Amino acid sequence: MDAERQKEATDLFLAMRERGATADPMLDPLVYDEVRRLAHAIMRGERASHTLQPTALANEAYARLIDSTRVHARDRSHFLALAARAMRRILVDHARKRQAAKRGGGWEQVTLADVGTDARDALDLVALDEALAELGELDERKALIVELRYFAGMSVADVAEALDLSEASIRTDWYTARAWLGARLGAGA
Amino acid sequence: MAAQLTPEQFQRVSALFGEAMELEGDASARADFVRARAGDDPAVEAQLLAMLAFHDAEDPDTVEGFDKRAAAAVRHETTRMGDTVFEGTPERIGPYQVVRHVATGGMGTVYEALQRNPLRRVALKVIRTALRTPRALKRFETEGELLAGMHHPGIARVYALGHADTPHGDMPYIAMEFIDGPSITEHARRKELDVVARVRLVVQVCDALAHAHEHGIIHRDIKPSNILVDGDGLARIVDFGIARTYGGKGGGQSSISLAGQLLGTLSYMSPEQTRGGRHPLDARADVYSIGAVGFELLAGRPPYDLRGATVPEAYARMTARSAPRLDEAVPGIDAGLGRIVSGALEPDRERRIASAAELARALRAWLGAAADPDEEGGR
Repeated sequence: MDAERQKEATDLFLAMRERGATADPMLDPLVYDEVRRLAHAIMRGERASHTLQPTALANEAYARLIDSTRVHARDRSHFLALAARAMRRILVDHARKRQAAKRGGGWEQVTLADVGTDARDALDLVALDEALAELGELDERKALIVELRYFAGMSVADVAEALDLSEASIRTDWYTARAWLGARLGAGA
Repeated sequence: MAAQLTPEQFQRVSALFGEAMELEGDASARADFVRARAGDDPAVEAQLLAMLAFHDAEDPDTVEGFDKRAAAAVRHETTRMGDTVFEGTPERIGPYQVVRHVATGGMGTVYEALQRNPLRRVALKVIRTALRTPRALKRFETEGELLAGMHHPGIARVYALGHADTPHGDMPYIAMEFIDGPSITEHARRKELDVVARVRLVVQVCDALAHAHEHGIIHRDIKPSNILVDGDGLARIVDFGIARTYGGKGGGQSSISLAGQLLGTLSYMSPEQTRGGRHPLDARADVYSIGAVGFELLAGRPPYDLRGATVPEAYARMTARSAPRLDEAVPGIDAGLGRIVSGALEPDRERRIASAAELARALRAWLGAAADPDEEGGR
């Protein structure tokens, strides 16, 4: 994100904060675009034809955020944390329901993505979420970094900028958090 | 796999892991480091060794391994969700961007959608594809115009009526205010409202319905989930017209739409609606439904438990005896209030409280008396 856009976004959050709980619940298009950008970042590397799917996630996340950001977003980094949390919750809830339907004998439609090359290697999202919740109990900031990286598609540099910390410090925390998750989930080695 | 760590142990693990990553040399050099620095705490040592084994197996400079698998999990779920949400759901309807499918009722579908200019959430109602006959379309339009003519704080506002050009053909829509709030019963439960506050909510619903009735509109599906309480504590009626039977002669509920109703909906429906037949419905059907909602607000359950009942069974039970009595469900409830609620729930509509306005008047009088401790009543 370039500096001017970021300043715009920061001004917006400050304005939202000032308006407070009595403000018009309709947020600016800028916030919506920001959520869309995050959702699309998740799909990075995927074929360009998959533009509709992240829109579903962005729309639902935005709808959930409309109220919570209006009242609670303190600043841009807090907004990003709320957005990443919302997207995590939406996706994990979705995965849980899907798994429950599967166990219950429900019929799951096979989508194009399921037959993709790396579908078999994907982590179990529900297990990842549970491990991340445990990490959050131990170290909130490290869990937040993972959330921003995985569920908002942010790079280490993006996270460093958003949290106003050095990239080196974020990278160390990130590797530590990832190694903890990897060991916890019995992955790697 | 290491044992569960305390936050203090985890902080120690983090600090040592950061140092270990910086070490020159191979894995055995790091293992020596771990033994030297964490040998006093087996849990910390085991955790560090497991993490280093993982870290050494990963290539931190490329998006490989774990990251790739995590990213794939998130991406696949995003894709699946998109597929589910958008299966049969248009991405856009006219100037609106569809957020999600909210509900499909007897004749139409409601989406939550976003309008760009001004940016706001809307409830977008469209008629079902299968029902898009010229006659049904005409009625949908008429309905929209009637709704647009209503202006009452207790009724969700209509923003726009329009037609969208979609891949499925011409799609008429009604864009309404999106009310984000719990149902009236859920609101009362969460806020632990007292009897007076609950009755006040019912009065608000009566006022809104009286306004609709003056405009010749009967809701026909008043139930808790169609009465939402907004952030200002105001009861707002939604879904006018959606539950309406479009196949019938403007009279009773057709069996087709009844089959589509969720279980439990019958609990708020007037006996004459469950009987159907030749007598056209009038506003007194809504009066019964408010009575049933009011009964539930005060008693914690609807007047009859009709879950699982067939329509004829429901009719038989509602008409087997005189109106349900609130004091049987809530011992000690004020008798005057009980009489009013029973008056709204009279199975024979000729003996029922005649209008929403009259019900509102009766409840207001009761509230006035309840506010004055010298009068009969109180709470």
